[in-house]
Amino acid sequence: MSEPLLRIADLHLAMRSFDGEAHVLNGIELTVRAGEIWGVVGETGCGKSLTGLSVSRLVPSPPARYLSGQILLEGRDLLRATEAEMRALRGRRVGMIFQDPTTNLNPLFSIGTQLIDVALHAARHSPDILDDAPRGRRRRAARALAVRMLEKVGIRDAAVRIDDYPHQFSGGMRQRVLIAMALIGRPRLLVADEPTTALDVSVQAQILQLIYDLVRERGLGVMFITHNLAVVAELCSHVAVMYAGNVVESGDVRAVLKSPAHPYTRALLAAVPVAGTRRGSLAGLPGTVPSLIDPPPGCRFASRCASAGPDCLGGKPPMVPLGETHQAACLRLTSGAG
Amino acid sequence: MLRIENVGKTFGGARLFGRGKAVTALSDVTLHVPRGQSVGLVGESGSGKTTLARCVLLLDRVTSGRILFDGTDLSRLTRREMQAMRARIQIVFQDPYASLNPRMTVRDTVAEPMEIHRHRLKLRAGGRTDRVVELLERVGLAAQHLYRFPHEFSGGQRQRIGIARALASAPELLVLDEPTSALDVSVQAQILTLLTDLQAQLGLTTLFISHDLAVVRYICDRVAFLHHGRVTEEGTTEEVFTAPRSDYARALLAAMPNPDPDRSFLARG
Repeated sequence: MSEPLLRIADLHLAMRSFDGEAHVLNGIELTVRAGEIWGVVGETGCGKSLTGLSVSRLVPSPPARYLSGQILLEGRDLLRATEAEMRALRGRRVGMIFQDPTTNLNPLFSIGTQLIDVALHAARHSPDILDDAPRGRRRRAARALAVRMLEKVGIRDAAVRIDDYPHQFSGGMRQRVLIAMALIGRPRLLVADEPTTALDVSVQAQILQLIYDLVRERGLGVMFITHNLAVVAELCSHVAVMYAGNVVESGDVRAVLKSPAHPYTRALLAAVPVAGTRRGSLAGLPGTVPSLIDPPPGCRFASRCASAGPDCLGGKPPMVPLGETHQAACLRLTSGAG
Repeated sequence: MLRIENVGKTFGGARLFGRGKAVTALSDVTLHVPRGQSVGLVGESGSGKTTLARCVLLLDRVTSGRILFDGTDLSRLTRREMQAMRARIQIVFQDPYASLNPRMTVRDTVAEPMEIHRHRLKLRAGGRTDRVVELLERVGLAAQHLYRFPHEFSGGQRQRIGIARALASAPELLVLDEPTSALDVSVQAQILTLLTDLQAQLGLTTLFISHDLAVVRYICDRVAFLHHGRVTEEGTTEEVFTAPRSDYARALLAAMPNPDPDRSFLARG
């Protein structure tokens, strides 16, 4: 196997708040290789977005504080990088797309201007993006690249539409523009934070297809953050299930979704209605994610878990390998895995 | 119970200077919601789902056609009659963070419809608090929550408060406008369970607006697909989901992500 694109190792993040310091990431482990699409799922407040933002070092600190761990991007620890170094990496090594395509585009500039800015910025560190165009021709080269990127993400008449403003595009089109913007600097890793949540199903299907095709074509590694398990099943090759700042189960998408081992993964899957779910038989998950300011000792899921016992409060349960690419952190796996 | 007959709704036309182009939000929509049943209204953003709901709730007047509720033509009601009718048709909104007044306690929020419709409900002021407690218990909350404010509750709990408020005037028809799309799946499952229980206990008739096909398939007896302001497909949930007749319904169902990784529509190598 090749060297991983991204390796997050034992990442701990604390966040200061009025009530005290919350331990929001509690030893995250995640490895993404080129060509893999990792779905990161879990309820609101489980740390999915913070994990994604950490990869771009976009979590403001303070109030956040990294306690320990590493975020290795192509072998280089981002937690030790300076802000200037991070600026050189964002958009060029890591691309990001977010949930709301409306607020992430500046309404006052044409999309062309915004794409060209990103391309020029990236070209400062890797001139090959613009085919090593000399100084005076860089802007023109960046514009040509922007048109090509827009065509790639499926914007028709890209050469004309490049001068349009964000409000002239529909939600799905804006998300395509943002994908073009995230990929214009040729990053190897794409972090997508709920990119289809605000879209209609038919548009969502198109965007998923687009991401899928781009991954196959460019060998990207993707971290796809979502709360929609059906979308994960559709798009992702791997999945990491997060709960209260921990990855509780991870592995190949088929292994995890077809034979979920962790009680939390099972509960999440049981909450999604599928064809043939009898009305009234849907199982909700009682309770909420515990407070992370003074989290319960041991397994953080224990308070909502039907099969929890006193030993679950002893300490953080270790990851148990269940197959070549499948692991879960639970003490009750033998009785739990059916 | 609710009969929507050939309803059309056009917006605009008049502009500040001269005349603008009128937008047709609904054209020739016919839909029947039988008593005690749950009818799903599915469509993409801009398809006219919410406009239709607003017309049913008497928040907008239809341009053509008529909406019959229990035999009464809603578009012919006077203001006073309309006000009385609102007790019988209630709504639960999408966003439980935006649809509750942050400065009102749970008790006041749920009691407000009782006060507005006091002539119909015939509840004395003292009886209202008891009724609020009864409603809170019905939706899975308790008396201890009476004097708390919305910010003290989670999203799922807030949606329960919204449902309690909608039930306060003892409505016969409940319009649910995307009631679970702002919630986590785990919480969504709880709210869906609550809704099915309520429907069974109270014999409610519901119009369930959603763009989530999986939820509609789970909770609705019948379903109608709305596309560009027209009903393109209508039938029992079973029929529509297993054998859709219109191209639009087929396309939408094909785009629906499937939680089984082996049935992904993306060709996997």
